[in-house]
Amino acid sequence: MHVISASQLSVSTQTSDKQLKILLREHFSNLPRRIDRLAWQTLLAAAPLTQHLVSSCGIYLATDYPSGDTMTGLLNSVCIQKLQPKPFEFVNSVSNAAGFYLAKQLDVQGPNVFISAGPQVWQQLLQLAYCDLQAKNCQQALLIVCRGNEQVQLQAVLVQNQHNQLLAADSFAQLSSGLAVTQLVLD
Amino acid sequence: MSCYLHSPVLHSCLGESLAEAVAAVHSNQAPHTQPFTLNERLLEMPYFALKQQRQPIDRLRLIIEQLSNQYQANFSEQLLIIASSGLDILLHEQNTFAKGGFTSTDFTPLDRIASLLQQEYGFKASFAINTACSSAANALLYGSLLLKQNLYAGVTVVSFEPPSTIVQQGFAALELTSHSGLYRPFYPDSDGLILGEVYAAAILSNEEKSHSLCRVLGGYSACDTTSVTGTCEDGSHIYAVIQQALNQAGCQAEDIDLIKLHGTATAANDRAERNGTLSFLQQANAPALCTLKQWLGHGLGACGLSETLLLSACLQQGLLPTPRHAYVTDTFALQHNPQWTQSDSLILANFFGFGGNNASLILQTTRQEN
Repeated sequence: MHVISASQLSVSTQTSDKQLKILLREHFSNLPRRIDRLAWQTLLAAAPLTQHLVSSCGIYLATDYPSGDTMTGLLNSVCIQKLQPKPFEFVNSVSNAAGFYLAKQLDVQGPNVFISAGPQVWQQLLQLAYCDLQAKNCQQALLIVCRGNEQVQLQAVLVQNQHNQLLAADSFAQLSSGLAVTQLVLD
Repeated sequence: MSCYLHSPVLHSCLGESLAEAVAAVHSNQAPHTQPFTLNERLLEMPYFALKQQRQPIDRLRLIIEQLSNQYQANFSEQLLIIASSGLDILLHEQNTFAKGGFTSTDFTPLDRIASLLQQEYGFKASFAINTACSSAANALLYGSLLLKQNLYAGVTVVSFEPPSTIVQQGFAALELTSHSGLYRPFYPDSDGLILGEVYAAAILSNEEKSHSLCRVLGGYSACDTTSVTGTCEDGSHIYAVIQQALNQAGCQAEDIDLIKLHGTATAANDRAERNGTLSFLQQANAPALCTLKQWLGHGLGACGLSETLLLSACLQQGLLPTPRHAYVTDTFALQHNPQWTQSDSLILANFFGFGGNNASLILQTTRQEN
């Protein structure tokens, strides 16, 4: 595997979903509706990598936390107010919805895996992607890690090829070394 | 790829062991049901639950200890994969009830359970996977692929779904859950699915063990971007996933002896799966069919493992699980002959979920005499 391109995004709690959407419109003419903040953020982290993307691409997404706004809303409305959940909020909460919207928006067909972001997350995403690249299940792999709960840091890399040189890498810095990383900080 | 699935543990509405679950299927014993009340509408809905309630983390410790004690498993060179769409949801609900509300700072990390169990039992590495109802199927698939690359000596897959209020209310709000308590996949007048609490564990390794249940020959998983709530109803994505799974396993459609259908008993999902698998039924020697959610309930992210364990254990005893409630399906002739005599049979096992997550596994089971 080798890294084709990489991007980094920092989003503070002060940044509204509306601001995220405005920035996304610079990359995409149509945006999905009824999606949550995690999906907006992952789309924005992936957007700078789209020019290199082929349709046979797997998505490997890892996050520290579930989508906060969706789950908090559900817990309070269902458990405290004793209401029925809103269908889309519920579906977004039980599926890897961010991965789905990413695949749909980027128009890629391939595996779509969502895992927890533990201490070895980059190594684990690389291993999963390597397995699919080796099996020829996809030609490229888009790896995204989202760290943090309210203040979040997202790092994304697009990799291809079937060699295993990168399998020992365990950080974004190591993976993106020597590349011009697209950086965006939203305060 | 080809690896063995062994050392099974299953706690479900059919009992607190795999043997109890197989015996329940054998004797047509009803699953343990614990109804819940639907918010706003105040209707009572069926839910398949374990008889004894425990905190999920305590239940997970129990099944890993059973796995360790019964099979002398050594976890030090193994990867632990936790497959679940719920993870800490029950803990969050309990905190919400206790504190009268929930804020985003109350969240636990998604990695909490995997990380805790890794430390407590000495696994080499761990992560949690959530691809909705295909979570555990993907854990088995990627576990097999990681073994093929010799990245781990073994992979322990633990899957679970706790009895979550949000999940119960959510499926009911989507009008996917049954009122009648009759779980009837592919039935024209089916009124939906019944959710089920389940905890399962097993080990994947490259070596066959005396307690191996089946081989994982291959599989494939991909995302259908038609809709976040389900797959394309013409079955085209399901068909494509199945074909790629067959390719990965190095076999043909004609080689398949049995299809374990996902069979949620919800109209759109059943329609998509029927369309995606119809070509198998038009073959000269059409495979047998079975569904397992009538027995275990819909275990969501856990069903990939729990259904694989129950099916393999039943087949090893010559028993093909049949529908609990006799009925006629709209298309599928679900197998009504409870005897299964084929050994080394090839099984196509389907698992589909929200978020367009479609996965198919190709399994091979061996009949055991005892």
